[in-house]
Amino acid sequence: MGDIVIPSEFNERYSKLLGEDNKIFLDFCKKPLKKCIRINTLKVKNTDKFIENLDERYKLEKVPFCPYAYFIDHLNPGKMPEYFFGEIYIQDAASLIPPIALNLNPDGDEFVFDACAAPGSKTTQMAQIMNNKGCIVANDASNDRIKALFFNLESYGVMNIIVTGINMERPVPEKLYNKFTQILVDAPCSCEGTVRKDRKVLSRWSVRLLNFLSVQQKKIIKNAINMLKKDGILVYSTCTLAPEENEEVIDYALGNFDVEVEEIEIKNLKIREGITEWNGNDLSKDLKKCIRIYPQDNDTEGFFVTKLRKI
Amino acid sequence: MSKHKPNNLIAEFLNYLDERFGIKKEIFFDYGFDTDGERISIFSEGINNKNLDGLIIKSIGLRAGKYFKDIRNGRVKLKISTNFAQIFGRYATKNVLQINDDEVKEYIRGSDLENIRPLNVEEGEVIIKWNENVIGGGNYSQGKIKNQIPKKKRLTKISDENF
Ligand SMILES: C[S@@+](CC[C@H](N)C(=O)[O-])C[C@H]1O[C@@H](n2cnc3c(N)ncnc32)[C@H](O)[C@@H]1O
Repeated sequence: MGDIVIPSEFNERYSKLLGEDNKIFLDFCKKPLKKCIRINTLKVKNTDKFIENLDERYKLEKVPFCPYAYFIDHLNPGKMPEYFFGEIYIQDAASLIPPIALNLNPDGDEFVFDACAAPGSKTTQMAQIMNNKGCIVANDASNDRIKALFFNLESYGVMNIIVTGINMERPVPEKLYNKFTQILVDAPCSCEGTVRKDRKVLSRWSVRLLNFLSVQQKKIIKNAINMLKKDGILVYSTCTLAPEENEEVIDYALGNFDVEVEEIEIKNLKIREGITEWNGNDLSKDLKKCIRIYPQDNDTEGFFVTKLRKI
Repeated sequence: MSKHKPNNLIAEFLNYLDERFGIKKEIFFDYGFDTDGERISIFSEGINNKNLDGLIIKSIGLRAGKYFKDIRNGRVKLKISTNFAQIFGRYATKNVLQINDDEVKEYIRGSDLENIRPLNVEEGEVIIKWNENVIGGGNYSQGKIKNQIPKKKRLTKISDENF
């Protein structure tokens, strides 16, 4: 495999953000990603027995911050019979965090909106946390990607589900205002954090792209906030570490809508605070409560997660 | 659909599950069903009390089965979906067919199975099990099982060492 070419501007930006840690960050960006599987508890009823059986065949390592996920030494878990049965989902460990941050209630009757849902990694994970109770509206603007979403929802046995195709960049009908108790906005982004899996992602990277996406993300979060009930929780996440797509989007939300940032508490997860200054601009001090997941900290992809409450 | 269509498609589907597989209606106490006249979907009852005003819905729940026309005799029949079978097939008490390790490898790759001599299985749709796992539905006729696993779901490249 050829080495990944890191654009010089990318390097400079992370040098600013990380200082001395930039070297180890860039080293991790070049390291292949450990395979991770999530046990689908909607189908696997006896998890202990299931893990025992897998453990006999593969080397498993618990994901420290998620009780139902494991790193596995199998290079292609998509060929395992457990995959056929919808018992395991192949999902990077960092991507497990946004649904955990929503603190969904396993016995509740929640009404959840997944604004950018396809192909459904996080929708299927939320459904398992909710024990198939309540209702999730899984939405995506791309018809092609909705096909993959359907496939996953069905394979993983999700039944508390409605699928819609709203374009979240456009204003949503008022009938949808103040409707949902929880909303996940796993926004379309530059995917910087996936470089360990997709070695080409940085060849498409530019600051112009980040700024373009930032505009789109602000529109999406605005419409999503409108759909959230008072006191409801909205988790905003991306698989990128660019401040334009993260803190700047949250700063915009804090400045324009009735939302506040809440602390995210997840045990055994190494996190870094959100930043409060970028490109010479001061941002809200509350952004410290956002979490940045760098690849080197938990040996995962890069991710950004924020929890907002509507007040 | 044809004029042979039963009046109440959902009730008919539930009767079919009971008569064909011994899967009782009571199991579905916590679920609702929906149909577009051809496909039947099953959903969690939590959806029932939600205000869905303003949502343009593409689908609800999980596809449980569908009505189709048998080309040989033009009759409308029912078929359960693979994913539905994988979840609710464990409640079946009849027309369940156990296959062995060699057969399962063939079947999940999409092949039909031949020279099957099952006991206590009637011709028509069967639920196929491998040990405790329900693989899906299949059509049993004269010693053969016609594969019903959707193409996308087949594990064409699965290698034997994974079992
Ligand atoms: C990061 S991906 C979501 C991944 C997904 N949450 C998962 O865990 O599998 C972003 C998704 O946003 C969708 N998207 C992009 N623009 C959108 C818009 N304006 N409205 C709704 N969805 C949009 C894309 O089609 C894409 O599927």
